[in-house]
Amino acid sequence: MTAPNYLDHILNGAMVLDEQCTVLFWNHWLEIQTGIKRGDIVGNSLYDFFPDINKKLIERKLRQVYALNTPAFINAEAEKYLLKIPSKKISGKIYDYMLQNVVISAYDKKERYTLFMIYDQTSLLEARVRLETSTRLLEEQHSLLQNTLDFQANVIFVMDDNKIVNYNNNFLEVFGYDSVERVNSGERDLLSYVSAEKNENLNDIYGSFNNFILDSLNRNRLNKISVADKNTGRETTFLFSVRKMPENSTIIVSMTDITLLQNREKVLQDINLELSRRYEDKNTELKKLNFDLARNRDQLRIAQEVASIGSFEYSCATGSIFLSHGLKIIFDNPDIAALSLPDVLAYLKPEYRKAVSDKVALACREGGDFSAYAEIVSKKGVEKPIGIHCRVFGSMDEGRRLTITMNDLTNIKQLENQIKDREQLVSSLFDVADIGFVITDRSGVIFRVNSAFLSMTGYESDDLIGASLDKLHIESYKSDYGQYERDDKDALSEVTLTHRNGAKLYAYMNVSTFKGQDEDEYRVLALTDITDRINLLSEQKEQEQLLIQQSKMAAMGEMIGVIGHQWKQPLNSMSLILDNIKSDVEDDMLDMEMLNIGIDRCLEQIHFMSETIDDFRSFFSHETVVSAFDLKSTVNNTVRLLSPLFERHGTKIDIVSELDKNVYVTGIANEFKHTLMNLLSNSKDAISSRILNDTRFKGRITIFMSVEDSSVFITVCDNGGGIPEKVLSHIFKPYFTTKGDKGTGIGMYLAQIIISKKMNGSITAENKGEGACIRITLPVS
Amino acid sequence: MENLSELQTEAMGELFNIAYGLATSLISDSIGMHSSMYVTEMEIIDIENLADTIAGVIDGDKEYYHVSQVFLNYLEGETVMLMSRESAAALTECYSRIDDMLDDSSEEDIKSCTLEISNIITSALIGRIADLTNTEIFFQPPEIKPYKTSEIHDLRRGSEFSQVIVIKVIIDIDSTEIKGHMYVLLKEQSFSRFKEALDYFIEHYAG
Amino acid sequence: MKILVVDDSGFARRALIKLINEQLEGWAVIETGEGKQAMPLFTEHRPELVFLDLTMPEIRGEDILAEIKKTDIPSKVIVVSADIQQKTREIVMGLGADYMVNKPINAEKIAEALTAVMI
Repeated sequence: MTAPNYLDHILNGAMVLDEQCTVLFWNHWLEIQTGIKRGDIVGNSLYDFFPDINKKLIERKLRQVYALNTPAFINAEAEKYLLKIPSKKISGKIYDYMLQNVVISAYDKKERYTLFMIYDQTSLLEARVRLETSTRLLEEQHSLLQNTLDFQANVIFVMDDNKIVNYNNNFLEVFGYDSVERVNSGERDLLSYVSAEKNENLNDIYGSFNNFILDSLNRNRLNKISVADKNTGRETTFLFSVRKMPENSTIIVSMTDITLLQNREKVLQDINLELSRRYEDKNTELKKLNFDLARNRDQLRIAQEVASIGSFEYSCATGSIFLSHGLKIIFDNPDIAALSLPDVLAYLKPEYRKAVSDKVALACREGGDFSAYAEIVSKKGVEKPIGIHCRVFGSMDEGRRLTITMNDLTNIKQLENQIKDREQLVSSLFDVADIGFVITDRSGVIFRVNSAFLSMTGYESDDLIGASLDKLHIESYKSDYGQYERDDKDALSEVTLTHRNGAKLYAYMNVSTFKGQDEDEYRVLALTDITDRINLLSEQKEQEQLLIQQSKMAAMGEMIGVIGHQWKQPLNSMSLILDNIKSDVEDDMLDMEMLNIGIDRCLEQIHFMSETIDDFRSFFSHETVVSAFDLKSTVNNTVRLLSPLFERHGTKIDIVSELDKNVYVTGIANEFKHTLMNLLSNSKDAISSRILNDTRFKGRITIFMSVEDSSVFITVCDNGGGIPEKVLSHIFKPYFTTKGDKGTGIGMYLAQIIISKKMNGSITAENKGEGACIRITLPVS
Repeated sequence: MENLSELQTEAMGELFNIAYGLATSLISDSIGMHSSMYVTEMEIIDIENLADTIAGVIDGDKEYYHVSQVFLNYLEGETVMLMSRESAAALTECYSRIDDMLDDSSEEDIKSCTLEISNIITSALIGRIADLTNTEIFFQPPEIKPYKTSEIHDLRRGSEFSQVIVIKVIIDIDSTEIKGHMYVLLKEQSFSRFKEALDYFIEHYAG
Repeated sequence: MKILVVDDSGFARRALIKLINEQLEGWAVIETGEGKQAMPLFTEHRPELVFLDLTMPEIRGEDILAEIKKTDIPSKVIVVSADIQQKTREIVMGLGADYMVNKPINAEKIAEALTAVMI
């Protein structure tokens, strides 16, 4: 058959088949790709040339084309290919065969001919596989980065040209919910939210937050800024780091809350400073000693010739000796008349005599100089260390003569001891501290570590002395290690280092550099292990969450009791009404009017019951939004809810409020209600045990509320007998309970977390009058 | 139904009924088994409500395939077929009974069969409209990918489309139930043409 | 002479009745869109001819066909369906249908069907 000749010029495959898959047309592209000539294949079955083809698939597709008169498709992703054609690509190929999209459409409806258009999709799909791989890698990297960011920083936001383009929730919490809008509308610059540590006026220096960030980016160093809470005015200090995206002007700022670390940091800095000072003192002393030593040596050298050195000559042949004046001084015996070697040796302590006499004999016999150490006892009975040096003169034939000098080492020895003592002092000073110390020289070679550091890292001191600091793999995980290296001044940062067993340690590190008199630089690294703290921090969060959940369950149990009580009365009334109706029916006295009255009264009770449930439901709603809420009405509502049950337990709750207008505090209202409920419930329990002893005892709980300056005080006082003095200081600890099996021991702990951590207030306990008073102080919003 | 008269709605039902009959017969021939296709629900919704409608029928615990196919010319739009992986695998199993080169545990074969059935249903639906109105509609190759909620939201954002014909179809092959959700997204202009096509069908059917 | 038309689609029913009226004059046409009404209407009117759709909600055309063939009323049944599978045709004819017309219908198909069952 003849097909339009343009099919020979297109860069796709085109073939026409009849119903039995006999090839009627085969275009030029297919000739090239398959190597099969048109003349060979036309008129033959496609299956003869491509035995691998899925016949069933083609039959199905053809049937569809005929039946529906619409095209059918073969998809490179699903079926891979129709014609198996080896890939022509040599480098970088992923697939061995050409991947094909095929469109099958009716070519001649009457004759039932179909046209197959074959499109090479290999490169496209290969590119996609690569893209997907790199996208996946990118995603992995991104999520790693994200995790790292999440771990490190509380606040993350992205800026582009002084506009905030992205931010996390914490950003809003720190800067305020309207901050993004304000900043982006140009109403307020982000710089006005922050202050610097050194009281620099940032606004005067930089003008805008963007400039400030760019400046810190250029200086490439870790910075600290403080942000004041819009409600409490409390300052939170953040370490912040900045990253600039390479391809555009986007800047990522991450901020880490280090307020809690600040106190620790101050202590650490103080300790470091003190230690540095002491070290410097000792160092100066050491230098002085060294200087003294050197000076003494000089003196000695001079003195040697005068007094501290003595000598004698010994003739091997005759055994005669001649003593110098110096020796007589060393021996403290100017009138010595030693005539033989044994006379001289007699001054040596007995343990040295044989060794020296053996060496002398050897020198006489075979020649050769020697040196030895010995101690003498002078005529005055003074023990002196001496150095002995022997030189041999003359040959064996002419008779050897030995010149033996003796140095009085007393002064030198004293100095050496002194130095040793001093060094020990410095060492012990290092070991007192709980902080790991590493001292390196200018090139970073470690020459001293303390025991705290060794126990922190698991190394022996021999492993580290003389080794390079690199061995410890100290890396800042907020920024580059290099940052503080470049910094001449003392720097402080959080770092990781590697334990001998390979474990990663987190530490707080302070680096001090100072110069000795000889211009030698020393660097003192003070490290505090904070690995546990970092690990604990996340654990603690989880635990707190768990506790809140537990306490909710406990409160739920309590509430069911309250509901039960609330419902008892209406249930009783209803049963009475229904009883009446029943007996009226039995007595045949019931008329419609009475029935309606009965029903209305029942409905009234049901209405009351459903109101009770609504009250509790709102009390337990899973509200998690931090907002300002009215303290007075919150307290009133909680008390109103609990009063009926408490009164049944013989306890009356009074509210004494000095608040003359609405006072708002910030937090999650329900959490505060739970806290209050907890306090009231504790009071009730204490009162209950008093009632057990004296049934006429009247329980009384009073809630005092007052406001002063920007603080509001809520004090819950009872007459339940108070808290034993010895447990008073423990009641805010977790799992502490005085109620035995009845208590969970988390109520007060949670109260403390909610009040102090979440609401920025404080909670204290004391005994007053007949019972206990719990006092809550909260900042007014 | 939105914007369709009662008569048009009835005609659409019959039109699709005929189209599905054709598709079913084709599928039965392909797999050598008797099958039935039921259209259990049919409605026309605003593109704005598509995401919600889909969210209402998708089982969040299951994986779905998303097959889309663009058609052009007299009617312009896109069909979207959502089929759970379970249904797609069951379908592939049916196909594999007659085609031993298919394996219902192979991802590629499942995709292949899902693409095929989706194309058949789209062709039957849209192709019938073209036939009955004597017009021409071109079909682009269907594409398959895992279903992601966000992409449906993107469809709405493009807002090129105005109306969606929602069809829930159950194919019963030898007591294996295969469920698919078919959405025919039409551009504003095409929706009025679709109504014209229905009127043409009403006038000429059985004429 | 009576004809009963059963199809859930009103559109299809109207189209069919139009074609029947064109071909047969003077026949009374009884129609229903509810499959469940088919048997009561059938026994009440005892039609000579029934046009029956297959796919309907609630009840299958095949079941109605079987019921009709169980009665002693000698009606001819023409099945009209969009289900054009050969297998379906075999099932329907096996149940005793007198003729089957594939949808979409037209005048020729209906004429053919009527001719086939009337002779």
